[in-house]
Amino acid sequence: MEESKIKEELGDVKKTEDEPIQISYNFRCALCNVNEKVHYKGTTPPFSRNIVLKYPSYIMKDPFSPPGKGEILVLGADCSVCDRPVCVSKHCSLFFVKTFCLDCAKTSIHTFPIEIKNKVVQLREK
Amino acid sequence: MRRSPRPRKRSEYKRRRSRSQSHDRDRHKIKKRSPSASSSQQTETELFSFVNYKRELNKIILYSCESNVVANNLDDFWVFLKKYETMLQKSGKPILDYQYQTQSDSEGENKFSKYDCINFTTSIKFVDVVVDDKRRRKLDKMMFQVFLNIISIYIDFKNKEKFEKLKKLRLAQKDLPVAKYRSEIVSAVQNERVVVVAGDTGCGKSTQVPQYLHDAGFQNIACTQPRRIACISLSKRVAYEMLTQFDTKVGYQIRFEKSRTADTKICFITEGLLLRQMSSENLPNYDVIILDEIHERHLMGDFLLGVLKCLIHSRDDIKLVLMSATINIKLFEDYFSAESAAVIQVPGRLYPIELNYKPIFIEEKPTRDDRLDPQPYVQIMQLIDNKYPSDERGDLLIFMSGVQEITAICDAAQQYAEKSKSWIVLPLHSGLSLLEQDKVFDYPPEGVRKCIVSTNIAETSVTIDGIRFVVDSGKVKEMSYDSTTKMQRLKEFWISQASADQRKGRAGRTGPGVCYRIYSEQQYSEMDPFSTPEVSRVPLASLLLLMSSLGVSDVRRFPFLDAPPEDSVENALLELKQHGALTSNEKLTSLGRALANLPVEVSLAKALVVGSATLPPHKRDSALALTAALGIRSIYTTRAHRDFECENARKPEESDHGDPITLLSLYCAWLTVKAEERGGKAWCKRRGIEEQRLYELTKLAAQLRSLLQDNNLMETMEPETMSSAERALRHGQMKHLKDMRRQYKQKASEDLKRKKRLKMDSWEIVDSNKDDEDNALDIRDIEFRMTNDAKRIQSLISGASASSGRDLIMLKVVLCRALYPQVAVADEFNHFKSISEQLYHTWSKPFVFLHPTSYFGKSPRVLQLTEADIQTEVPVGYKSKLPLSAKHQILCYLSLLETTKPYIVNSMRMPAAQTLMLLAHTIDTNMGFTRIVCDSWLLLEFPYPETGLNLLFKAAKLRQRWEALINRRLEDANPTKSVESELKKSKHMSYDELQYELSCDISAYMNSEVYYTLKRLLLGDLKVMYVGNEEPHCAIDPNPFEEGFECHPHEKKGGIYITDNIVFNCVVDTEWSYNSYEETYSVPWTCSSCEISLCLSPIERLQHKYFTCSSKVEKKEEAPKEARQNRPNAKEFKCEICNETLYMTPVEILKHKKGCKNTNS
Ligand SMILES: [Zn+2]
Ligand SMILES: [Zn+2]
Repeated sequence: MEESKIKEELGDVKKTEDEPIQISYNFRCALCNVNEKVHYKGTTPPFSRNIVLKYPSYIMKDPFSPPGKGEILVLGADCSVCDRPVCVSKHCSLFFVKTFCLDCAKTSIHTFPIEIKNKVVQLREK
Repeated sequence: MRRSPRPRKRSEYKRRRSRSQSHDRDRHKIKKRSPSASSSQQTETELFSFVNYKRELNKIILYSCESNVVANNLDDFWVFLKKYETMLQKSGKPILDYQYQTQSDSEGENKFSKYDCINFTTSIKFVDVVVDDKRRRKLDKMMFQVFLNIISIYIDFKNKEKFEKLKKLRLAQKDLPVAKYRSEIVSAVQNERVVVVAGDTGCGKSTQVPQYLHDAGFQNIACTQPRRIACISLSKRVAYEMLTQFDTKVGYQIRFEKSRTADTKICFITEGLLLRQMSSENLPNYDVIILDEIHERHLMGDFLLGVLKCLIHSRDDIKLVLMSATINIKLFEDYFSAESAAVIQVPGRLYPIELNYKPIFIEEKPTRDDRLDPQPYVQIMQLIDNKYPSDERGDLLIFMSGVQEITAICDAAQQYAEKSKSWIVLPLHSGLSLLEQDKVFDYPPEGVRKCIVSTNIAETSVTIDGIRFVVDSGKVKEMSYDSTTKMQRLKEFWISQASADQRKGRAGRTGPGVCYRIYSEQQYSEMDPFSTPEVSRVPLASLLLLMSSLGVSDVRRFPFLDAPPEDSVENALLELKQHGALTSNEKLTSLGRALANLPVEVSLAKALVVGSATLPPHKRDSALALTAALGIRSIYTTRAHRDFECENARKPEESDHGDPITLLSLYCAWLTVKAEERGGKAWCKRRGIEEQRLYELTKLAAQLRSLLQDNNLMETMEPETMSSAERALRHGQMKHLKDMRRQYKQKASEDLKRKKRLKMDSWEIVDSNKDDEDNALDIRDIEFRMTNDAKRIQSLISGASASSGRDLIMLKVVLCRALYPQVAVADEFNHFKSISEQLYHTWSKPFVFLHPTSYFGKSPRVLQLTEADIQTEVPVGYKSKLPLSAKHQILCYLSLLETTKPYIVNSMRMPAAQTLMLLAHTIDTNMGFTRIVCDSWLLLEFPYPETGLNLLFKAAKLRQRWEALINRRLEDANPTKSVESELKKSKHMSYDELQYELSCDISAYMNSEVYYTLKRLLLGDLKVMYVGNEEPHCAIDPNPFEEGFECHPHEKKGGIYITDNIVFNCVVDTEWSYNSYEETYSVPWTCSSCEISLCLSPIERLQHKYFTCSSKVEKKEEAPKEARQNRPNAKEFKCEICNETLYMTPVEILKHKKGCKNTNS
């Protein structure tokens, strides 16, 4: 947690500069092993000021659209329970106010509203 | 208007009614809402839609300081929004759900809101926008908040989409056969010097291996490709996979363009270009060089292999990775056995393929004209129709040997397709435009199969997905080369087993497939295991020159993968010596070095260098354009020579000087069209010209110009300064062009997104495309106009045009000098033959025809003598059956090509005697210069006394001056920076002056009128042509042909060399020539200058004129000053008679002594 805070601050430092220093993080989903380099971790990606995330996430500049257009690609986040990084795929994580890895989502199923419970159950059946 | 008042009224009424309706609704809404928000909610959700606020919301989005996903995809977003609203309405939920706003703050743990499942929030500031329509509810902040939530949902949706795209990409990469070998490949490259990765097409090696190595830490990776297109498409693909498609981490570099920058880590590069990088001192700092597709065995690929094999011994910081199909891996392994190459085999992803030999009974009857019978191929289509249900997908690929065969099959298959309605027939070969080629990738309608009829281009270079059936004719048309006659042959061969297997494999790339081999299994077993490498069947001169310039000291001992045929090497070396690119002991000359830098074949490169040395500065573009025109593929379409309309349309630009000049004038005409901004596409189409080629020509010419400038062989012209008005005009133009280019790119990317579906009737496709092409933006035209402004085009036109006068003569002579000894003479019986039977003879290859599409092939009479051209009153005593004329012509040609017959391709007419005397490598003459043999091949007889001598003497002098001019140009290009040479330079006559005088003199010489006969010598004639070396010969001293040249006897023919090219007194005399000589000798000759009258032989007369004539001697005092700078063998000399110290050559010393004696005595 400490570390990610520092990284977040670094992210803020970058935001104030015109040419952000290229710091990249390695992101690997603990469940499906998706492995990519990302440009930022946090809630306010400096390369897209219109978008703010509710929960700190691993973000890259959208590789499929031209640079400078402010488009981003959120790959995933650290699970709010076990702190493992997980990707946004519905087979790996669930978002409800925070990010939960699917394993933790299952164990803390009782805290979710009924709609989310159903969703988790559905995924579990698969 | 007046006649139809009713419909208008009705529509007006309609409009009014609809407006009042919406008015009512709005009023109703407002009324309902004002007293209590909650009670009106139900009605409101039915009616409310953000779509009604689209204009206002768009404004807010677009005015927001930074762009974002929504702003970039506005149309897409609104589609999404509509769908989202409909979905809410269907499930009975309100669109304006304020619930979330109020409750999210007051922690409702178990209360579910959809927005809690979205990680994104959007922070666009609300702006109070004035609403024009007063009847509607104003957009307020609360509503906007709801709207932002929808945006967040949209962003989340888009994010998932993109994430899936990324995941799919990674999965596809992981799924490639080569992926399993990733760590093995990486560690092999890290630990070994040379690694061979063998895997079949589709295993992913070309795209993945560079990435593996980059990820493993290699910083500068070069990956060669035999084809330029592959460089571009691979770099695009790899950049996409590395998620760097918008920067330059992955780049390419090909002959005309590069995307490589300092940031580039992986560069796809053509083989030829990498080789040239090796020749320059600044080879980029590669840490890995990957050679891809080495199994194709192209000339450059083979040579590159050899060069790199040597390189890695001196550079242990470079790793070598060889990638090939699984063909003949052993060959490469053995080749690098000393370097102990590691071999990694990647099995291809191939499904089982059912193999059928001779599926259709083919009668083995030799047809009269060897016409191909398309029936077996159609029968296989029938067989497929009968055997496989049409709902089982899978297309057919037929391999044929050449374009003609493809056309024959396509015609027959098309007939069948029209009946069966289950096929779309598509040809595929490199002669088609890219647009036509791309059609093979489009999708057929349901229940219809594509039938692609292709050359071996689809064997490895073009990969088409979805092929289930392959039909293999077993044949290929390939160029072979006879180095002795310098003739290329396009012949049909049986393919190799490797090739047959490659073709078969194309059926099993996407699923199990079927392969039909038209030939028998017996035939297969008789095929060669591997195809003949290019090095054994193409001209080697360019390659050997390149090798020599790269510092390969002995090309014969170069470690080729397969040694080229010995005589092919020897003949190529001879050719290079004849061109003066190599010395007699095979050292590279400065001319050779200049030629090696130019990426066109040796003779064309020579035309450029000679042209830039000889032509006036403002006409050098003509040499560039001409060379480029001859260096690219034919500009003519297949229709060009079949369609009468096309031929007619080209008539005004045709030049009776021949094909090269015609090409040049067509190009100038096209440039004129471009200058007037009349497009060009339609102009080209009418004339049967592929406009694409003319763009290529322009590009190549510009490329060659800059190469010549880089090598100091051409001046860099200062661009003319533009006036401010011109600049403004150009600025506006550029803006307009950039706009058009942007439009084009946008449209192209939209087209790409739409999947193209083929229409059943393939002819219809062609037609609809034609309209498309004509109306659409022409990107090439746009780009052409961006790089060439009006002034530039004007200067190109004036520089390139050479339609008459001295410019034309000089251009022709330059080209002829470059192409020599590629000349041909007419057969003596051509007068009696039809157009198609006109025969010509070249030095190495007798009996060749004029290509039917060439200018002279169509109008050979231009080359023949008319009655009026023939001199009927011959000198007394002269007897010959041959016509005596001043108008004999020979053909100078670019190449010989054998298809159905041996043909001369790209020819140009030249005056015979003048050309031969100026350019022949050896000229043999009798005592009286009346019988002159050029290159032991052509005999010229000059029955009028002294005419032969005068012509030869002029030619010899011009040759020396020309040679000196070219050498000076080359010297100036690579100056040895010493004070002495600088001094020398300053004293020289100005280069331009020399050039001007020479071109005046050469064009006068080419126009000189001399009567002679021309005869081709056969082996029997040659046996009795020379006197032999028995008789001793006295030296000619002083030698008027070349002062200071040491005469030496010719050991076989007899006679003596009086210049490097002329052997005097070795040709035997006939009765008339002997008599003529005797007569000349016996009649006293009067010198026109000093009026002395003496009995002198022709050569003695020359000696008198140039050395002993008193008028000459008087002038001598001033002469040496001028002459001395040019003489490298000059030395200080103190004359004992006049006591002067002079700086002179031995010959001059001799002359001076004589002169001194004369004046003193
Ligand atoms: Zn995952
Ligand atoms: Zn967890």
